[in-house]
Amino acid sequence: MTMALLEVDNLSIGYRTDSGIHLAVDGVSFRVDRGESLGIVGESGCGKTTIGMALMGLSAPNAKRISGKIRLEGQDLTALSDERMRQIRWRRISMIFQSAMNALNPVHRVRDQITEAIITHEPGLSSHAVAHRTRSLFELVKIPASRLQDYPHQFSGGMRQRVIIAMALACNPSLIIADEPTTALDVIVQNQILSAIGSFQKEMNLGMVFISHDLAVVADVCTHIGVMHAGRLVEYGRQQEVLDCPGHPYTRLLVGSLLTLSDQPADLSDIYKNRRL
Amino acid sequence: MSDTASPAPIQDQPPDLPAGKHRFHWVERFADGWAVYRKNIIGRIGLALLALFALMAVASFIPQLVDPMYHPMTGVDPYISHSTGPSLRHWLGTDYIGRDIFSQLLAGARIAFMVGISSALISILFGTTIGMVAGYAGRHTDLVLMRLADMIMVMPTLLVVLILSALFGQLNIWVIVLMIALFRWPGVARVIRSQTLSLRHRPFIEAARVAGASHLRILFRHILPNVMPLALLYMSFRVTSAIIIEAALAFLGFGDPGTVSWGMMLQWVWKTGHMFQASYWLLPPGICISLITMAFYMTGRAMDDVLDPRLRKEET
Amino acid sequence: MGLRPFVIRRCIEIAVIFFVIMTVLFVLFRLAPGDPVERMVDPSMTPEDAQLLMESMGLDRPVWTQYLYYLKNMATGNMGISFHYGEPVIHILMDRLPNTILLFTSAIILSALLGVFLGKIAAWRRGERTDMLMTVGALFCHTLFLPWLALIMIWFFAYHVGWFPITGMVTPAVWIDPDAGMISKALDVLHHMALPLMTLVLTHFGSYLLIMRSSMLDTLKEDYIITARAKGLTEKTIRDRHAAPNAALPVVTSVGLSLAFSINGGALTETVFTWPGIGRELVFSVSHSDYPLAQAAFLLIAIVVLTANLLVDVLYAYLDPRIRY
Repeated sequence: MTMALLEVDNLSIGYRTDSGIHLAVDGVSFRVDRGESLGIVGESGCGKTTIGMALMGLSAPNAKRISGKIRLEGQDLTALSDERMRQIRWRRISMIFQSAMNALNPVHRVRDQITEAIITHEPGLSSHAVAHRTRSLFELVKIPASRLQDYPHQFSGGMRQRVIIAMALACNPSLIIADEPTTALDVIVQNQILSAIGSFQKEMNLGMVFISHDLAVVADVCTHIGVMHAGRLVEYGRQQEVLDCPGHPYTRLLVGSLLTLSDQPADLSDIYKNRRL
Repeated sequence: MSDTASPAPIQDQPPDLPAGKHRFHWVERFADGWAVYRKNIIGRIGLALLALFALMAVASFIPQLVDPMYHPMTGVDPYISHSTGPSLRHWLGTDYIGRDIFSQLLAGARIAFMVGISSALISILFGTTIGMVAGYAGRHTDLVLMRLADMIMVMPTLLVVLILSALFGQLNIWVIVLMIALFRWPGVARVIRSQTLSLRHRPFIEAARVAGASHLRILFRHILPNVMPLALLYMSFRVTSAIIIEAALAFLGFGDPGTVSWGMMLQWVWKTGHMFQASYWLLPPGICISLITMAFYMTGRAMDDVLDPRLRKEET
Repeated sequence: MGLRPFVIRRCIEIAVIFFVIMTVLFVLFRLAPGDPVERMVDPSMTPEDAQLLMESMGLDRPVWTQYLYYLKNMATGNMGISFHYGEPVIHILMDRLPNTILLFTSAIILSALLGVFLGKIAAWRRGERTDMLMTVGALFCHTLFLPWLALIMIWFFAYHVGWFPITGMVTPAVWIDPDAGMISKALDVLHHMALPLMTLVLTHFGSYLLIMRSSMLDTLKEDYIITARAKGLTEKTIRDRHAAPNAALPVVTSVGLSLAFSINGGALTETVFTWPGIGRELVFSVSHSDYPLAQAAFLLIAIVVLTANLLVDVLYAYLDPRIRY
């Protein structure tokens, strides 16, 4: 078996609070290979964003990794120093942020925000090469090169997300973490962004971890699906398997709540009653 | 952000309250606030300093009762008619005509509180009323009032009072207090205005309007209790600026010649050329002004922490 | 580009404010007890000169006409003759104006830069000893009474240690000497400016530091800081290139808001250090009942403050692309 791009092994993360340590992620394990994308679905507070941040090494100051390992191409990220992790960030594993977030710095032009990432990780590159790459990134996400010198507030929500995607791809990472990248966008734009992400992933053979609360979105784009509930990964498998035969009652709830134009709304009361929290 | 201030009761008769709760919600809140305030070390130091100065102010009546030569303004020591250093007889020494510096310092504390608090009260009164009216009435009234506030804020208060004293002669201390207040209200008004703006569209105001309450009633019965904590908070900052402006005026020689303020003391040291030799005279008034400013600032900051619950959690 | 209309609008606003101030001053001068004519014309002038002056200022005409004369005179710079100096007020003030601008501008810029720089570090090292030291230091300096600090400065640095001159802006010997070049003259001014400048900066940087610190703490919670971390930038880069430029914006606003306060301090500083600026002239003229000079000095200071406000607003608009574009 080839080495997995990303291997998460029995990861548990807790938050230090006044009343002790609150477990946010409980013994989660999964793997992502190149070309595959894992969609992690769950409601707010189920721990999915915590996982996303932990993968980037950006856990909050009061978060504590209690156990488990994160291996990127065999390398144990959890054992790395801050400085080593900083060098890996963006270069090998980058992030597409929530569309609701204020992810771009308002006082810098978007072009500078992208070139900054490139220069930090590939200092040897000539300024000409950097500029060329930035331009091609914009072409890739289909934004006119004339917008390169604009400031973030001059872009619409959808275009901003595309800038963020371009930025995430800037250093040719092997793994991308997408955290609710389409949540605040309207459906048409959402569709565009999703297909853009999907196509890049295939073209560049990237691995992807796609975090969302919306099973419909994940079902659209991901090869694998993981369902999280109260910190545990309660369902994990290929997309089709999970959707057709959900094992866990919570998954069934989620699948059942997927509305299609032809379906009758499902009767959820049974499942809800039997659901264990 | 959720509304941390609960809506004022609309009905006139309060419902039956569970035992142990006070009739007025704000008293309860005050008690809660006090408990938090007590934990804040900055607030404690500030309050301690203020207590010290208050003590000084109260004690300022004592020296001349002990012996008329200790009177800050008219006290004449039969044996001393020039500036001397600290001694048992005069704890901080004497000024250039033999008056006791320590009793002057105490009198200065009294003046500082008087000027500071009355000026702050007046500017809070003004500022709150104008801010509320501007925020509530909106549109033209708001525009006019805020433009007025802008214009006044641009003016350097000290220099304005200076010009006024040029025209109207030596100013009485209460006139000075009023002048200062008239130029310091815009800061309060702005803050109160934005608070009022955010309250204006709250459901409980709408409900009161529907119930037929007059505008005046709404303003004073419903909006005022909610903006008052903010107004009181800003009062501490107004006090410091009032004290400083009065001190600067006195320093330049435009204070009320009948009052002994710390600024006046500094003027005497400076103008009589004792600056370089009489450190016992030069240092105390300046230190007092700085300390009282710091005390009010610290108290204000601590109150700010109490009133803003978001901050409360973070600063620990 | 939204900058030009913005500037124009602000200029108009300032002109209106100044106009109101002028008018209020006019009214006050006539409302005050005493003879308004005596206020404008030195009683010790010769009757012929007095008559000439009165005519040029329209003091023998009804109030409304006087007002028009007043406006005209303002526009042409005829603000009367100083009682004390015996010279046209405008000359005296124009002579003093550059000195004030030199001191005032340097003080504001230095204290803002210092406040921003130290506030940035204090926020970054929040809770540590560096932060505590800086915050307490800023608070301490902020509460110092400016005239008192000025006196202490003179006492210590000029009198005690003798490093700096006690008063004034220039050493006459240096300026009279025909061989003295620009550099030595400039150095002399700087030498004299050191103490007043230090006094002003010490009393002002504190509030900027505290504002920068709290602004920085707010900025550090912003999402784009997470992005910067995610991009693998160094801590220093994040602090200086991403957080600080955003955090500095409220400081600029604060500088603008505290300009009135700063000019108070400027006038006090000039008075204590006998720095020949318009602030000092104002204080001096008021204590000597030199009404024409006092009125003109006040108006000139008003112009300076308003212009400074405008410049700060423009600076803010320039620094924040959200306003410019």
